Amino acid sequence: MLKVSSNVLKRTYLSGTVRSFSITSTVLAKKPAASKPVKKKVTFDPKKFQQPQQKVKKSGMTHLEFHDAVKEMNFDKLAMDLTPFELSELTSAVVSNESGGQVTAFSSESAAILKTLGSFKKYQHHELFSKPVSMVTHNTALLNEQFVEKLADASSRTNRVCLVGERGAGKSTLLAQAQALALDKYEGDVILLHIDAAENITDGSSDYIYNSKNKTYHQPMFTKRWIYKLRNSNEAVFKKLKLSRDISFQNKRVDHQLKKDENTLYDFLQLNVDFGKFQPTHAFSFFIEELVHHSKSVPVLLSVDNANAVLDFPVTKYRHHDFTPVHLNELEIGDFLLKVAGGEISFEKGGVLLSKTGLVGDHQKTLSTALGLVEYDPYAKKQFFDLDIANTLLAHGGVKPFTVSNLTKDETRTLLNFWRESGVVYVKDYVTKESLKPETEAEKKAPKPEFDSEAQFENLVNSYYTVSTGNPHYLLKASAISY
Amino acid sequence: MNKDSITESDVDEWLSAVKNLKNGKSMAETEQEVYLSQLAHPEPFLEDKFEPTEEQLAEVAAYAGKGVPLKSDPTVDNLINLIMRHGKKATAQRTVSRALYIIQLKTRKDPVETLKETLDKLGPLVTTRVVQTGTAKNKVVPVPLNQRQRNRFAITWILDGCKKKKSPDLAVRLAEEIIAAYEGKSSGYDRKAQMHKLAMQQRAYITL
Amino acid sequence: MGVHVFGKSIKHNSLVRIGLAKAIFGIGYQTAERICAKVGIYPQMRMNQLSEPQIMDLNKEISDLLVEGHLKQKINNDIRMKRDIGSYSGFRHAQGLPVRGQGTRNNAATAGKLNKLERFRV
Repeated sequence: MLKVSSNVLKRTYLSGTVRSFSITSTVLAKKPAASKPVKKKVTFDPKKFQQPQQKVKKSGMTHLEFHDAVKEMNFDKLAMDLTPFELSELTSAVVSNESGGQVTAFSSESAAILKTLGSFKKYQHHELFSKPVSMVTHNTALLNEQFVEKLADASSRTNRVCLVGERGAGKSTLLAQAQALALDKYEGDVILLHIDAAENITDGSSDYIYNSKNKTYHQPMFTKRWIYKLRNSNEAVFKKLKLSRDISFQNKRVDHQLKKDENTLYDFLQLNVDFGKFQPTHAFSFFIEELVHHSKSVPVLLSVDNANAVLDFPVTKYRHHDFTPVHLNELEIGDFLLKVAGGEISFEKGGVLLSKTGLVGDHQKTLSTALGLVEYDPYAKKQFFDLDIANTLLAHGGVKPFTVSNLTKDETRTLLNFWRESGVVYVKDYVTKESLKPETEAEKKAPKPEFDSEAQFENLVNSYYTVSTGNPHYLLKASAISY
Repeated sequence: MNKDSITESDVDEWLSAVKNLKNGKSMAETEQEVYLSQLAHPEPFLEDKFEPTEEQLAEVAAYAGKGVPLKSDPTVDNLINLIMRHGKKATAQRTVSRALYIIQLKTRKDPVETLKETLDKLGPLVTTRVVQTGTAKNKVVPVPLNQRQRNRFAITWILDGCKKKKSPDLAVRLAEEIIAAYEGKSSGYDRKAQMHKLAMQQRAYITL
Repeated sequence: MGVHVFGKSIKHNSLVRIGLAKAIFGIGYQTAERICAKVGIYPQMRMNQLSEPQIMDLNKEISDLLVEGHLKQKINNDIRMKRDIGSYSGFRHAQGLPVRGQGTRNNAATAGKLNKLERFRV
């Protein structure tokens, strides 16, 4: 059509004024566009070409990573019931009679208390069993004899022990056992002060407020959480302890007056929950003074797990206003920790039980020098060795090291046997190339040699003991978590 | 013998032993004499001969007809190798070990057996291959799979299923997917059914 | 979701010291930590935990520093000054070429991008 019209147009043009023969041109003539649209520059707009994003609906049981998932998913509920095993509870009697290891359960009361305190930790594989269990070893017996038995007789100044040993040797477990034994021995009449991860004091995760009176920093968030744990786990004891002097304080804009010999320590801890968040207070030091006062009648056990994470790294992540780093002894809790570990604050009955962690501080010398495990090096660099802290720990007779040694062969056998019976370790025949081949007719008919489970178990004991050298962490790793 | 703690009497004993042996003493009695006589006549010790004891023979008999134990289970090894990226085998092993640990916690059975059972359930029996006829039309021929091939399909489907899980940790996702497959809930079963269906449609091309 | 500090929106779940360094021109990680220490913000604090007075304190501290527009202006002025006194580096800036003696046979793309008389449009 267009072609035609253009021809016609040409003709009309040529014809000039001549009358046109046709009117097609006028009929077909296009209406001129009102205004020619500006030619748009074609650009690539990625948004237009993008596929509409499909939102993948993610399913699954958990969003956590392995260690947290294992802890949080309540696997202990699926575990085998341990009642038929008739495990004896962890008591001093059991510990003093142990030979070759004995698997024990924590009594339900002490298990509840230790759980509140945080003594059962994330990497201890408690999810394998329906309730917390631990094995009494020669270490337990020794620590019981050297430390727990003395709690009521000695002051905490003379009863200071630090657990040392290689990674996975069972230091944290031993700490929990010591607490349970103390609870058992004094029938609950013992105050347990437990810090389950000392690095939380210095890693900058709590707010910090300067108290110009005692020249230390309050850590309200950390202190509040810690006291909350202590209050709940020591509830029965704290309710028995009457305050030794009057105290008045303000909480949530309400004034409180607690009377001497009338109100208990529990009342104080329940009402006074901010430890310096809104104004400088002496609530924490009052709490400690009360504890020292009452330690005449009730033994106090301060246990600190991962103690080397603060003692070996005393320069904290916190900063003064002028950007110089805050030292451990400038923090309220850190100062308390150093004073108790050094014997400056002493509970009349009680003890201090520190524990190293095998994960940090390989090159640090402070704690090992203070314990006498390493010779004092006067040329040591300051980042590896803090003389003041070492001296603090050495004061008043020093902290005694307690080496947590690996399991013996008999203990390994006992432990593996318990794992076998409780469905953690499976004893089966070795896989060989021959065993994987499909059986021939003749082989099917032939009588098969009986699988000697006991002999195989003994084989496994030997090989796992060799692999792990009796270290419980590597023993479990070799037997149940490596394929 | 410690060089630093040699005393005069030690030297005397040695000298007397040498003297005795030189004088033609046939039976060596003291420790020194035994040592020296053995040194003088080393022939029996140089002989390349080994006589096993009774105990050693019994131990050999006990292991007769048994193969050498493999370092790890071949099925688990297969899974590890399919997970491995950039040759990082230890990482893959850790992932698989952790996944199997979670499976054990969840099912409270031997996790290796659980894994094998799952792979056996999920693995397809036949697949189809395109055979070029050279003439007009290509044939789609059903082919039976062996054990290892079946496992491979099952494992790849499980790994595909892992991508839809929430956890950032492959070990946890893998465990979840294997548990789901063990309970018969994995999306891999659809793919297996599809594969079997295709093979059934093409069964006319099977040549025996 | 953002918390507004010094007129900038910072993601609510970022650490204060990281968020400040990322959001504000002229504040790096070191300066941010210094500011936090001065105001009394603990190292692991997150943006959404900041209280109103703390944000005001932060704003006050930051406004004492040479940041954002003023800093950009200063950089521009410095380059302009170099050009005006006729120094070699001023000349190179104007040319859009490397200033510190680097070669230009290869790799002078960054200089081409950055070296102008007016580096920042304020």
